[in-house]
Amino acid sequence: MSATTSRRVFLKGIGTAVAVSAGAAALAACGATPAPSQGTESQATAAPAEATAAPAAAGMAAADLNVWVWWPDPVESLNQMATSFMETNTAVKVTNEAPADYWTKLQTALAGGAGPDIYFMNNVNYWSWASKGILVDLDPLVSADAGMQDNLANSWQDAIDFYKFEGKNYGLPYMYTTVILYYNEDYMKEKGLTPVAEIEDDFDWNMFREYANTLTERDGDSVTMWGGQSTDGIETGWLNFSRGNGGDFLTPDSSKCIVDEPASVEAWQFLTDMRLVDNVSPSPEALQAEGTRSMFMTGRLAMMPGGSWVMKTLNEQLTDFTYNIAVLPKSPNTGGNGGTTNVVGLVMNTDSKGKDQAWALMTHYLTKDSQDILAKGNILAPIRNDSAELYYDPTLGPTNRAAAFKVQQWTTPLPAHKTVTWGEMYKPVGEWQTEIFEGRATVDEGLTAMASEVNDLLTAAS
Amino acid sequence: MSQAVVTRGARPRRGYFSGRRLENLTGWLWASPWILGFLIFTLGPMLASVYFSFTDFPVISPPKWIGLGNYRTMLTKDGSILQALKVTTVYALAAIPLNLSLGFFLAILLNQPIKGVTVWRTVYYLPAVISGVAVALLWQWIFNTDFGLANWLLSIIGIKGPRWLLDPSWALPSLVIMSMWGVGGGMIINLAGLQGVPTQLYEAAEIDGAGAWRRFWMVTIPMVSPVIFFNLVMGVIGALQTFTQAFIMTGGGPREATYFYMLHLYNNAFQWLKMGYAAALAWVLFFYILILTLFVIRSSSAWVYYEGELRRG
Repeated sequence: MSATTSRRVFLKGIGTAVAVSAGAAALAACGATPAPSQGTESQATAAPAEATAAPAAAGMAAADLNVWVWWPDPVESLNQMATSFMETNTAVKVTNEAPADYWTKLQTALAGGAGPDIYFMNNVNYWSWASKGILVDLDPLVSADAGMQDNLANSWQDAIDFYKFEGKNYGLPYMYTTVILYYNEDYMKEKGLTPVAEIEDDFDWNMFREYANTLTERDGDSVTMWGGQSTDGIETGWLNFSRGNGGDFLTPDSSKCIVDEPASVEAWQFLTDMRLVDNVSPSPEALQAEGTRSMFMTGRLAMMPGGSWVMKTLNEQLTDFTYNIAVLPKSPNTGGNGGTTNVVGLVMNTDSKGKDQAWALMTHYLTKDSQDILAKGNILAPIRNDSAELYYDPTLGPTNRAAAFKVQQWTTPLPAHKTVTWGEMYKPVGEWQTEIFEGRATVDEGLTAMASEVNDLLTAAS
Repeated sequence: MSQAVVTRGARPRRGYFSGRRLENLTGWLWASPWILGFLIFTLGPMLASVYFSFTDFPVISPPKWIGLGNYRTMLTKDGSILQALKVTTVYALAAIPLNLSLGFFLAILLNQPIKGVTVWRTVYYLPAVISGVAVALLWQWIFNTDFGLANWLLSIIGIKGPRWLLDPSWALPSLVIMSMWGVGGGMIINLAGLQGVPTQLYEAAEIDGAGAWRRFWMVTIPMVSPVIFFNLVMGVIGALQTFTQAFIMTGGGPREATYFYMLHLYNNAFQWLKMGYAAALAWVLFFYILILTLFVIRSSSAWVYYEGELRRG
């Protein structure tokens, strides 16, 4: 080969190699994780040979247990619980971690056989994960463990029931969220309005809208104070209103999306009108610049629905005004309230090398002492009713903190499906939600399309 | 003594690794770190992904063989794949020529004997050093409808700016505009190419009566065409793998206006527990990129000039 022709060939070769490498990088990302070993244990029989109650765990064999949670707030409380566990079980070492990019890392770690022994699960993912046979069936362990039975007897029963997948508990609830209305109490009083907490039992959608209109401040075309946020997503937004009005997103058996039924359409229309007709809910442009919470904290949003987890941040960081919470406005049509909860649970990895120890730790994390630590940590409401009162103590702030507990009576878990993942189901929801709230689609059009696309996914999955 | 006689009578003996063999060995040794890395960290996962593309593989549980099921789904059930391909292709068609021409134009400007040229070169190259998520977040602010730099600049000349990332008809053009942020990378390669053009060619052309424009077309462009070719190939590959901007800035919206192919692949792999399907998507993208790259390479004989190349026929 002559030197003169080799340059072209070389460049061509480089071009092809770069193309191949670039494609390879994408392909390698899809193939870098070997399949996890199925093992000999099925999901139903993966229980440790001998279930052990936490108090009887003193002589446990040595084990290194890893516990993963997806956000860092609970780690400090979990470490306190782990310390007391390790004092009793000196041969067991417990590490609580909150790895970044939790769900991706968890998937790849499990696929590589290096997943944590125990990990935290949310209810929107739980069913799809439980259906894959990678979670230990905890029922045999519960029935052999008086300590855990006592824990569960003192816990929120609806949440335990939610964690039953096809009749079996592959996970146990640990803490939960609720959705409430946050408002700027100082500003509300300044405007001559009765604080919502004082009238929350009568506070309905119409009053919410009136309040939002009164609280909105304008300067020419621009809005300097938005009255009330109405365009939040499924978890802290429209599903709460839809449920209050008798609607829902999925049927109880999760077989069909019913968001286009009249009860939901009515709720969506109300929320959309607050944005597009009244212009009292933050515009997409305003939200593009600043998130809802930040807008509330900087005094440019008077009322916002939000998760109970926000209380911790506001208590720690909000110093410019007094805020308070109340239950979300009820539907004037049904007189009822609706709510969503994300029940955070504990699950055990079928590949765990220390299932006995992991079970003892799970039991310990659900004891009253441990749940009290969680409650005092002001992270989320503990699942144990007898610890919950510590979490809802009004001295932690705000004064109407009990409202976050009151909503529990009508709150139901976020929708979930055993085959279609939350992420996949939420894609059309998010898209059409934006179209509706930005006025590019009417409520009817948008919800019809949303339901149709979600139902296509459900049908394909079945 | 006899040894001396033998030595004197024979031709000097050469080792096995000498001459061409030594040259080959040296070449392989220099390339070996990449080759080993490719074999260990890329080829293995690539082969695995071929297998996974024929399986239902949710990552967290073992793959199940489904034959051509994923590829059938792509053709018959996946409502988003066509949109993802369309968005990615349109973006590539707009961003590649724009970046190639701007990179070349800047290189010409910065190849002039102007005062402080090194500083200017650094300034223009600097943005290319920052990439990924940081740039995406920066541009999210630039495109902010109410407070963004873009609309503020437009307002100075009396134009009410668009809603950029919030508007389905502006979201993709916004990302094309943003792609010019990294033009410094191509610019620096073009600059190197321009500086490699022998000055005597310009002198000869000038003596022959060629004006500036003709010298540019007849000397500069042919001489740097291999560099343009390289930038084009890299541009095709990079544009078809666009991900970060859409992932960070728009999530694929509004109304799937920025739903890039790689975002669809990522969603399937890591959000929807469909790694097997994602592997199939990756192979389709691989062949799409390969075909386009081969097309560019084949076309190069018509427009790329190699100074020392022997033309046959």
